[in-house]
Amino acid sequence: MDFNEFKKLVFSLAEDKFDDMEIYRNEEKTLSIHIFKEEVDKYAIAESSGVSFRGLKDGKMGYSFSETMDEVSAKLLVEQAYDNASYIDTSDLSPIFEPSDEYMINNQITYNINGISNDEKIQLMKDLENRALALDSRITSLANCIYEEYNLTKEIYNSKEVDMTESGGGAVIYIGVVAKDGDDTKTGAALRLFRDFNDIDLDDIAKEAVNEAVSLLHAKPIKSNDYKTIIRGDVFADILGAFFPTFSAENAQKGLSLLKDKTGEMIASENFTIIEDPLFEKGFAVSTFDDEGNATKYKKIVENGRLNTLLYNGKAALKEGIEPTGNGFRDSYKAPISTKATNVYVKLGEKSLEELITQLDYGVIVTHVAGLHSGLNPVSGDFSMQAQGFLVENGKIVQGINGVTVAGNFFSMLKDIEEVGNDIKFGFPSGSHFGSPSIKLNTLSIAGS
Amino acid sequence: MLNKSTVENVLNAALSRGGDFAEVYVEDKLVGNIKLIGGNIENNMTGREYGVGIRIFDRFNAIYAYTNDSSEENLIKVAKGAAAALNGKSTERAINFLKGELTDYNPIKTNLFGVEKKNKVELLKRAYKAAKEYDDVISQVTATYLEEEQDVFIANTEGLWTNDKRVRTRFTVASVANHNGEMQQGYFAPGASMGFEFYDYMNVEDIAREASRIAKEMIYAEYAPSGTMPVIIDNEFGGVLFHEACGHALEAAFVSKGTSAFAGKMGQMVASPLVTAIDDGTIPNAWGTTNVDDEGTPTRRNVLIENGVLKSYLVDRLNGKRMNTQSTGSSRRQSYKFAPTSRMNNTFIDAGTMSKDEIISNTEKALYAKKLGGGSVNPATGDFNFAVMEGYLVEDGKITKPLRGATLIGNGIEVLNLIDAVGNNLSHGQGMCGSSSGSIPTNVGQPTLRVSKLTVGGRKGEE
Repeated sequence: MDFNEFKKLVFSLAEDKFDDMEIYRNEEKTLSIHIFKEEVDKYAIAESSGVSFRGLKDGKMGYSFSETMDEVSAKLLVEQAYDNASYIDTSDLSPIFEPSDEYMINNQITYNINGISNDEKIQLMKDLENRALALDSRITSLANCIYEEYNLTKEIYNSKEVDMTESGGGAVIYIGVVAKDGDDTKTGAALRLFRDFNDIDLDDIAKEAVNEAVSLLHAKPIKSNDYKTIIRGDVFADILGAFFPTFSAENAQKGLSLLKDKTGEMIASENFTIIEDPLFEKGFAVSTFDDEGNATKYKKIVENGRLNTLLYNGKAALKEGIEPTGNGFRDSYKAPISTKATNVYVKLGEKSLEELITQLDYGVIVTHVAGLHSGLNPVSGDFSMQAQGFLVENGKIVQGINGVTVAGNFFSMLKDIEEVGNDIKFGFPSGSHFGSPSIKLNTLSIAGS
Repeated sequence: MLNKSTVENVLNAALSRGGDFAEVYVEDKLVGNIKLIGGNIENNMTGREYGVGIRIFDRFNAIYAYTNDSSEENLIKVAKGAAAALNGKSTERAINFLKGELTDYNPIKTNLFGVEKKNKVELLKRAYKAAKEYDDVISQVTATYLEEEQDVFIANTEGLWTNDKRVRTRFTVASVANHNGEMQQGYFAPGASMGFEFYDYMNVEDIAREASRIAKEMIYAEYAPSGTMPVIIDNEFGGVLFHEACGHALEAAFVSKGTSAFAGKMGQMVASPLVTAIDDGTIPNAWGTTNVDDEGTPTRRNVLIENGVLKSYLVDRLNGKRMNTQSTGSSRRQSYKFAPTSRMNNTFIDAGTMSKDEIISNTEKALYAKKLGGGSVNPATGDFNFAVMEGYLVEDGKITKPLRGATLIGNGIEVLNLIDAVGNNLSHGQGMCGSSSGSIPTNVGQPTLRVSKLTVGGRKGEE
């Protein structure tokens, strides 16, 4: 059964049971190529899809999902959602929306991955592996040499005349190199996200990963202390992403965010601005409508240190009697609506990373953190994470640092930002896509030897 | 799920352009979760995942494809699409399928999806009440009830024909303590490969009170110190130490490529002689137990390290080919959307002889890490980290004051050699382990033990 037939069938089964209802669908096509020592270690192709039904009965929302589309699943979707709705007893009412008055138009972001055959992609990655190995004799192998591409379509169809489709895609090249010198082993990585092979420079990718690994050889811990610290843009982007649930209005309403009642207040240094731009051309979370069908919006979430707005999904907006901000997203058709954003980045400052390093005089640059999923807590704001980077003396990098942790609190760190660089870097997209320039902090606790 | 002629036709379509092995994996999984926030049921989702994965090996090259449509016509199309990555001659063959006898390590008493939802909601409400009433400082409680019933079918060109049913439930409680503008969170989340009878063994009030106890203890605690020091790690989820410090690096996916710090060390001393470590996929009804792995190989008890000597890696079929060794029944995947690879099931450091009290009273000064969170590792370097969620300072053989969480870091082989006391109170905790074949349920476990030196990522300067 195709989706058009299926959605009509589901709605016909559901219309007597629910006040309002919605069908949401994701369709995904992916290709993944892993190279190891000139062999295709893994080659994976896939096409898959899933649908979620949600129905509203007396303000209570019941959800269900399925990965098959036939009469049996249509019946099950409706029955399960109806049963599930009956157990909801929160006083916060869930909405199903009419179309927004106006949607942004995406006419600038194009996708050009298909001009190259899969064999050519395999060759390209073998070439990249060889270039990385040739750059430095201390590079012994590539732990990862991965090409992936994806095409994702989402469709929303509801009983209030929302009937929308949007597709997006991209490609990823990721390499991880292993460098060995005597007993010491270090790794380095490089990541590129792109929509056009013309944007890819293999030597540049190889150099970035190799330089990182080689420059960390014989890195060692530094003495435990508070240091002036530069957090490189890609690392700050990851940290911002991990703490982002704290900007959710629903979390604030439920007492799970310390930003509750802070709208309009200074929460960061004056030079710090966070922007959500759904059509940001370097972003890989481009979207003109959220997963409730509401228009996404360009906004300054934090502007010159002041919290302008939290992010509202439909339920959180209804509770405060305001318009949703286009931030009702779900992780997939298997998950209910939560609060997320599209492309989010920290506004660029004026100085280059090199200038920030010179200006730092004595301190630390953090170029990698590990343990983002475990070493930080969005509720308390506390973080403590394994870190790597470099020691700076007299404005110059003098030593690699390994085997240390950085620790602090997100909310105090935001107020401790001294400078914002002009060198934006993005992390790996996962629904949302976070970017940031390098950030110079007045002080950060580092635990080492 | 699929009949024999369909499976044979699909496997042969997979070998239509060469290859030495092909496999079909069919998954049909019911999932349900109910979430409570602040006393009310906030979300309630049920659904069904269904799909087929097809894999081809050609020497050490592996091809994988998956689909939601299991009609024979589509499966043959998908298998041929995967085979298009090869350029050889057909290696089609007649396959004689043999259904092997399996031991059922996970007997189920009460089917989860047969239990009325109101009983599950009731568990959540009871947990909320117990967590909230634990103390006035508890400002918010989130709890979830999770259930799944996964049916898998696996067949391959060597004639394997097998089924497995995995039934699991987990109950999570997160309590928030709020005091003087600060918030701290406590979390406890036990689970098992069991039906609804799990809740006869596990009291949800106990789970809830444990989450609130941690949150309350931590809101009044100081920050942990920073620097290197001895660390006593408690039993149960403390096993995340071995999981990160060693377990991942023993996975054949890394060992076979030489990108593991443990590659080439078989038969050598890699840990303190006090350390015996095991991965056991057969512990009855444990969270990480399955009857067969996701390639159809029966799970087993693998002694990884015995008295400090490296005895075994965790091996899947493909990497076993690379290493010229047999599978250890350790190949796992989150779902049909992932090609399987070597992973852990229920991993633990075996019990020693000292009591926990002896270990603490014989320690001059240390961080006592009572509750641990998740962690991660770079298998190539062995550098790992994991989070302490509840800590204390030990001074002169006594626990003196609570300390807030901090991350502990170290290097695999180095830290395994620094384990200088192993307790007799082995127990297991439940977690989700993420890696290249997705997120899978695993147990971690250990008795209380002491590491003579770890870096503690606090922010209070040195003690």
